[in-house]
Amino acid sequence: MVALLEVAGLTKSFGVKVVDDLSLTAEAGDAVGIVGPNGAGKTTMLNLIAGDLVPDAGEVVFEGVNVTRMAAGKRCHAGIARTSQIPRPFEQMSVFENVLTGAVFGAGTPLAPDVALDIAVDSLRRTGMLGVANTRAGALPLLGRKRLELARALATQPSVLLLDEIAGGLTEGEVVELAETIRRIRADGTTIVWIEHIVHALLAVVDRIMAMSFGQKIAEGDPATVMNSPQVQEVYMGMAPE
Amino acid sequence: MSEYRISRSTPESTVGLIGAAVAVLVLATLPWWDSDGSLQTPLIVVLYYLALAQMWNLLAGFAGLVSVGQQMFVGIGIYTMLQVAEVIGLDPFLAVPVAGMVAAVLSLPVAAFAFRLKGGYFAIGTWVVAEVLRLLVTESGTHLRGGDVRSLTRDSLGGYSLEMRTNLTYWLALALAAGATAIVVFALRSRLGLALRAIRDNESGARGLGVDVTRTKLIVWVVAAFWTGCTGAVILLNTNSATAASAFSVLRWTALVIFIAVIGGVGSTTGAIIGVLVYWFLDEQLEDAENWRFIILGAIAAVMALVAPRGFYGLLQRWRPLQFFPVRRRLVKRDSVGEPT
Repeated sequence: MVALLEVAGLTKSFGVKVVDDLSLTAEAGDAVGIVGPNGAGKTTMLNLIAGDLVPDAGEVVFEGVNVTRMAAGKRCHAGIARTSQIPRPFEQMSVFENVLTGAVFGAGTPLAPDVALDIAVDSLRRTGMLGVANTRAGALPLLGRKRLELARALATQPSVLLLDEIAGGLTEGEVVELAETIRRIRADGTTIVWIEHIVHALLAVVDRIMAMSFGQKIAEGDPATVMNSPQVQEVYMGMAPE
Repeated sequence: MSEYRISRSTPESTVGLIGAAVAVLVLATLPWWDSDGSLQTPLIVVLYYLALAQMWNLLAGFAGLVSVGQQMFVGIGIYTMLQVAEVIGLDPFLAVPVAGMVAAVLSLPVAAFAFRLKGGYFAIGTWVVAEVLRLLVTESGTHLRGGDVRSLTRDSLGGYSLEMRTNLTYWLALALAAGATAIVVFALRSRLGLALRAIRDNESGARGLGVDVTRTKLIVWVVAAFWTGCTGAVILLNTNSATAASAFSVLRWTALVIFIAVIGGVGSTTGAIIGVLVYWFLDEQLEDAENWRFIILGAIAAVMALVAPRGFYGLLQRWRPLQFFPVRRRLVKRDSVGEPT
């Protein structure tokens, strides 16, 4: 049985190695958290998986297919969706139109208008955005924009959802609410790979954590074990191992 | 059946639809009530400028293709018309769609080059291609005789009285203007329009959601080339004669068109209509101003860009957010007009 997502030996350099021989596996239904200090290469890794960047070495295999050099749009059709750290909605379009775009084009094959509409409505409902469906996306506050990123990605009907610091910048209450939304998306069967600094949000959802530093994996496994490991304590909290 | 549906109508969209239908009807019957032709003569020009402005607007306002080379398709249309009517001998009025098709076919190799360029480089690139074409036609010797004044002769136009010719040219210009407006409105309301509006707001975001950005832009590019080529043919029917310099004029067929689209409001079909009416008014006022004409038009464009970057349509929107030709989709509950909850 092949894993849903298999990343092996991934390397990307922008003068210095930002992602360095990184490997990661996610089985269908997994929820994996990724932690690491700023500049650890987390977002670059996500860009390599989503197809926004092409690696210098290594490969990304999705559902048994090597997608390392496939364009981002094609990967979206295959079932890889992402959200961006800084939400960039289609500002002049309504929330509903943003999500409908994902539903209509994310599948890769033309959908009947009614089917696309149902998918869009379902994505809006699951992310709590139905009430603001006809609001202009550019007028949304930060939480709304974050939820819209999620709704738009969800509308492409992904098998794996890549989240990039989706809880960043939100208030405590909003973080809890958003983590609950993501937990439910995962419970409905979507695999989650989630970069996040707000660890308690991750802990509410994921069952495995990978920690990165300077582009390399420094620990992976059970969340509590990883977060308490000396390597993670050192890079994350600035504490020297005893 | 879903409990929601998509609604596009706005209270004023009925006004827009009826207004457009009445306008087309009134304009179509103009030859019968404007007996001295005092309106018909300027309207031919206004209508083909509206067709050009709608197409430029579709390219630049929606697909992010800021072309400064649209004169190449006007020129291709004009020279196709001259060749097909004068050399092959096809009826010039039937040759109009042929001019469009030639422009559409030639737009493909241009896209293969220009689509590699982004933003300002695309603008310059399309301009360069148009200039190269102008020079090639000028220097083509006996083939296209671009250096000489060429006209549609009595041979190819023999079957038509002057009045009939003028009327047919006028109706073609009307069809091009109304058709261009309809094409843009319906394109924007379709799947293609959803993709275009997403690309306009955030191209890489659209790509990430599976929108085929290049294909979407190419469709728009070819459609605009076809329609602009047809318009070129009608321009020749109106002026009757052309040189390579006049047929491939960046000033007439692109700069003025950009002026119209920009003062009207880029990215809006209503804006292009407002823009062409403003241009018509200014042009009548500045008839005797010679070179001052372009200085004054340029100054107006510069002031508008600073004061009202979204044109007269933008000013209208600031007053009331009216959408006469709505392209937005609203999500509403079936059997209700309210907001979803």
